[in-house]
Amino acid sequence: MKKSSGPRPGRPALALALISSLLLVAAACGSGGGTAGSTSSTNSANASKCGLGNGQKATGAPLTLGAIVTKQPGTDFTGITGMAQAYFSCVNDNGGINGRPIKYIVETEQTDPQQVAALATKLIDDDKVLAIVGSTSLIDCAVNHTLYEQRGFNVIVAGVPFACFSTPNIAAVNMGPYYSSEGAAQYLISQNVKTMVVAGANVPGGDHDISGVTAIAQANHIPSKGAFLENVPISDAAGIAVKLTQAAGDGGGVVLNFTPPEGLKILQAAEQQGLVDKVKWAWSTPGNDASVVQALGPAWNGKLGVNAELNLVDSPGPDNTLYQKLTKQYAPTIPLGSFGQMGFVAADIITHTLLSLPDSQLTPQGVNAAVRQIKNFKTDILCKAWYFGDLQQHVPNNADRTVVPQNHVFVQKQSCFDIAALQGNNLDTIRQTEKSQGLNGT
Amino acid sequence: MPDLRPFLVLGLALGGVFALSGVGIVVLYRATGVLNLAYGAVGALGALIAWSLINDLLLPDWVAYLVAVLFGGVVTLLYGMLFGAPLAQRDPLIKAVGTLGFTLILLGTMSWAWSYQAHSLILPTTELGFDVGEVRVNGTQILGLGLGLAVTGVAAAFLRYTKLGVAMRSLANHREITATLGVPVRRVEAAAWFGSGLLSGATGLLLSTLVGLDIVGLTFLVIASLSAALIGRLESLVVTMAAGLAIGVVQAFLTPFDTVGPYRTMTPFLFAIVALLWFGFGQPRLSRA
Repeated sequence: MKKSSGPRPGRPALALALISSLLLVAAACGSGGGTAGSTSSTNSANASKCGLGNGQKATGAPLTLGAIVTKQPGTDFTGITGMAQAYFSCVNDNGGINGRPIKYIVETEQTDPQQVAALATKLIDDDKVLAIVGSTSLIDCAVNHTLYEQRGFNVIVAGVPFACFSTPNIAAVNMGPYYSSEGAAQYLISQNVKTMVVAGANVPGGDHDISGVTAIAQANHIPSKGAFLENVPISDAAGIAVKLTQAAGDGGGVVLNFTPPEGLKILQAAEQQGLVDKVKWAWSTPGNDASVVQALGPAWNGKLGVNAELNLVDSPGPDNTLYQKLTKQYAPTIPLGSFGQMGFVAADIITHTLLSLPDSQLTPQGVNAAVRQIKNFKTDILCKAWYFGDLQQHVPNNADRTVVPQNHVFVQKQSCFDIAALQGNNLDTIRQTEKSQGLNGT
Repeated sequence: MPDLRPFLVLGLALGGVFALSGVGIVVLYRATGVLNLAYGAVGALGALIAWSLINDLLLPDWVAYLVAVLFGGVVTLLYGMLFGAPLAQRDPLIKAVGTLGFTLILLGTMSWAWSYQAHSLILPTTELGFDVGEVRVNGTQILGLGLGLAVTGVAAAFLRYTKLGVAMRSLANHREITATLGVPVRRVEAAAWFGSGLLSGATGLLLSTLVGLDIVGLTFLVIASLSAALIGRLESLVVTMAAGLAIGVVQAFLTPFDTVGPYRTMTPFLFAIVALLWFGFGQPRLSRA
């Protein structure tokens, strides 16, 4: 084989390399940090504390927690676990769990069932995690719920597929795209739309995620004009925007169920095509994101109803104030929004649970038994108190708000309302159990 | 039957950008023999740098756009200067795989530096526009189509009538003979790398508005441009342009139809497969003897 002996790069090439590297570094250092915080609260209310709040670094034997999170083109949930990690870092800087730091192992997956099954086994058997907290995966709940039941793990997730809300050992801090899309549709129904169209990401479980929109439209005698699954990442947002508005017709309603970057593409394309006022727009919870509202122009003021499973990112309550502080200090590249709040709430719940246990109970059995007993966990980030409880299905977060963009911030349009109970969505049964077991004070 | 007029506008605009980047790919291939698979990634990175310059460093928009285009030229030229000559004698496949490695590096860099957030970069030309009946045509769409057509014409004339262009064409035919004729091979190649990179930077800006500022989406839109270039047999700029427009329009037209709409992203692949089969049809087969 002929040995290639090309000339060595000369000075011009090295100079070019230096210029390009400097440009890259300057842009990367500036990337992402400057625009995420414009909605930070000006309220000087006291923030909650993380962990013991004593300012002392925890140095004892670590307590290990685990999570599984989807990270692939078009679907990246690592902002949720990133925020949970930020919370745990704060806990570790403030005395840990009675002196013991939390070690958080986050495994990323790409919707390969074998991979996801192996990751759960690894966390439980090899890493010997005490609990699994903050997982956000397109397939973990469906693939691993049997394993969690067999091993006695009561898992706190930011749920996506319906299996995260319909199995006995998994409870989510959010309500997931199925219920959230339904909530977005409820907002459009309150705005008297004439038709209903929904579009969501073509991912595992994506068809079920948007089925609630069609169901609630039918329950309210509103013609459903289409339920579309779009491949992500979206490469023809303008075409999708035109298709959706044509399908809905003048005065119709369009519900989007996409992650922030994907939904934003469609909305911006709609604006460019002059379609903002053709229909009424709504988006499930991922739209409640600081980077989204800052990118939307004034044409969208009041024109987009976002179903917010968690409170406004600039709400002044003590927990949300702590969330803002932790984002700024420990996770400045993660934009303020529902995803970050989910990670925060999950970490908050498990931290309080761990702090309530004596050292002898800090075992997988002890921790998971305690998780299952959680009830009436109050936080200003959620509409109702959170619980795990001894149920066959868990939807503890089943009430939320609607927010609309107004000059690059979200403002509340509808205060907390219950997601409608429909045939097959379990909410009737769940709410009866909440009352009978006193799980959240309702 | 859905109203296809808006889709025609969208398809022509996107097709114009496919044509623009297809021309950039062909010009570089004709001069260096390198099929640059990093074309889309370079454009995406330039657009993200522009986004950071505007939003984080608060620079004027025009400065950021200029930097994005120049960045495309500089980083593509840098790759060409570092790896072009050492790989010059290798198979075209090896040279292409080299650019694939570059793509992966850029993709990883972008994911590391700009992950999590939704990013938005809308060119000011988008605010200009007019309505044709119920169809909105904005300035960026006109720019995409117009630039694609203009660059095709200018590049064709450049390759035919200028000294540098003729030198690029002769390089494509035979590098060694061209060198022995006294043509400054490295300088000609550098011009091709730089020019192609400038087009890559411009394409990234246009696509960030037309499609969205998405790292993976912009990187892999190179596939549509590649299909257009393959249909032009990596030779004809006019055919490349026509193919780019056709891919854009057909893909857009498929969008509103439920049965075929979900498969519209296969359009560039189908075009390329049909073209390659067509070119192969009637070619003499190699005999076993």
